[in-house]
Amino acid sequence: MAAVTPASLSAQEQEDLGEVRTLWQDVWIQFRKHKGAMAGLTILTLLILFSFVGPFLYTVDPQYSDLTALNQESSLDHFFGTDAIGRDLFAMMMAGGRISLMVGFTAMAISIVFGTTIGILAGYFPVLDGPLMRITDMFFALPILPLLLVVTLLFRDTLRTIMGPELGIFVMIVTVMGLLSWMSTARVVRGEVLSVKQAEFVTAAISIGTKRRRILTRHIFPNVLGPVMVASAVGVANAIITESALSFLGLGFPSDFPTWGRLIFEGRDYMRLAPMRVFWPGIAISLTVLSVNFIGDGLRDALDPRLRGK
Amino acid sequence: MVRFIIRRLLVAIPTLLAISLAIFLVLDLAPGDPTGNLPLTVPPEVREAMREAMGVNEPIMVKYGLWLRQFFFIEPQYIFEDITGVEIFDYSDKVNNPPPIRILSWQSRAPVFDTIIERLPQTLWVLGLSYIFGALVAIPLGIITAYNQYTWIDNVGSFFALIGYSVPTFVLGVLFIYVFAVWGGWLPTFYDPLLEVTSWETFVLQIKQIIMPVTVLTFFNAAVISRFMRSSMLDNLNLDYVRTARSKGLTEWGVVMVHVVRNSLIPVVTLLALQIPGIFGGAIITEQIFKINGIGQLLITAIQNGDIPAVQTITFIFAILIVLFNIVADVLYGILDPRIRYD
Repeated sequence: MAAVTPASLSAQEQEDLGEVRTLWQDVWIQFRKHKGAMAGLTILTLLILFSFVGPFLYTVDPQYSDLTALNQESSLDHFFGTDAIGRDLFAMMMAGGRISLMVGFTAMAISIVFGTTIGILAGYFPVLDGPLMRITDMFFALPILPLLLVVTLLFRDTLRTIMGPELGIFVMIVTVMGLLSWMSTARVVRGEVLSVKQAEFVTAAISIGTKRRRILTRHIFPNVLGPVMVASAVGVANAIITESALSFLGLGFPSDFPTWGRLIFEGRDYMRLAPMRVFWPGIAISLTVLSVNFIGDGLRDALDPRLRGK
Repeated sequence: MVRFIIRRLLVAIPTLLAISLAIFLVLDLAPGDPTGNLPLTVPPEVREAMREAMGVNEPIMVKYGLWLRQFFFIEPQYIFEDITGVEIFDYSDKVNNPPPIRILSWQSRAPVFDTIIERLPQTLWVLGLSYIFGALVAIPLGIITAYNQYTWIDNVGSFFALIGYSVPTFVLGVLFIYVFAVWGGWLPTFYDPLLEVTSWETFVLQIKQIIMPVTVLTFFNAAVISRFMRSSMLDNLNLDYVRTARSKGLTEWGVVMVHVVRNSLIPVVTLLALQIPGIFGGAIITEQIFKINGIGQLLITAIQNGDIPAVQTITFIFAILIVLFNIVADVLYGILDPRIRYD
């Protein structure tokens, strides 16, 4: 967002004002002071690079099963060793990271778009408030994990035949997770809209005849972005944990798909032989979730003006 | 207050009906077949007759209505019979006048409720203990970290809370198994469901096999609750009434423990109630890690075998728990916080 430099002011007046910062510049300055959040951002960037750029540098096929090299220890040929059917763990970690991160961010995006829309509608239009909040309450009462397990297992094969093995399951998991996790965002956004709606600048905008859509997009929406960003950090963390949990239960992506959760599920039987085969994916999941949570904490502190100057 | 509770319970009925219908419709789409697990030698017409007898070919709304009747009217009566020993149904002539059919599992052909009651103690022990321990660790931790905000105590405490919150239970569980069972050999790797506590030795074994699942879940529960307790304390610590309490010469202990903690506990207690259904979800994963034969494992095996009646019933019980504890949380909030009046 560009800095707001009031052009109408004279040079002297601008100098008196000093440096004018927008909300988001201010948030970034506060965010940078949060050591944990910056560490989280660094680690997350490294993990993204590892998963998405890594395969171009370490060009081993994660699906390739080298039957002459089963259950190998870490070596220069196989950085993290190989599994029981001779697949390279380092390559599988990169492939798994791609899936985990993509699932996490896509599911979060779906749930945030859904939750924000419902929250803004419920908060801004009193007619819609009652029904939409009843629906939200109802979704809150759904047992998420059992339902997710049921839906994944029941429709895995159907979707697989329609959309292909990879895309089908990705679309299904992401959609189901998104549609079952938008409720808390909707509630937070609704509350925020209810209070912003009463603010004087909105009354002013209405009084000069601003169209409703413009009020919603230009005045209401930017003001609810703060809590939405915090909610999205939490959303990514939850989605990554849920996806790995599904894979760990053996119900998420199919077995030829090396997600991090799946690698733990498979490596568990070889723990006596090669404990690192479980620990690498375990460390990867934990680090990802930890760094996303740290970023969320940093965002929350940076957006909360009550914490300034401490 | 009583009127509020009654109103909430009445609103809960349509909510639960809608949820049960949603679950039923989703499961009905599933390509499952109750005769799918039978040997291939069973001829197709026998299979068809079995499906007919099980009511699989009925229209969906008929099946739903029958299931509702079984769940809300027939099963409670059987459970009542079990508990009191009073016979409600007529068992004298089972051929011509059979007692009403219960919800039967497609896997075991046994009543689903009997299996649930059989599995419940294991789940409740692990969940209950980890929940109590979690709260006992988390509330003092939240108080200490909040009181010493931004000191090294707070940093260490909050860091551990964030780790407990970020490391998934299945990663921590596998790590525990490696360290304490595989590497150290102090604890059994898996939970042995056949173990019966009859002597001191078996009691020690039972404790040993329950330590790891309870600790893993305690760690997670404590992390969630302590983060919440800390922020609730921070909201209160800078309020005017705290300054008043200090200025009238109360000891620091009195100010914090009597005034601040009591007020901070209000939202935490409601959170404790709201979390209970969530930890049942967590039980699914924990039971799978340590191979505990509880409700979560029952659900997983039911899902894997396409046992629709069992899945439907267990999932719906989870939904009832969530709705119920939501009401409990609201009521607790009303009792604890005099500023909130529902009438």
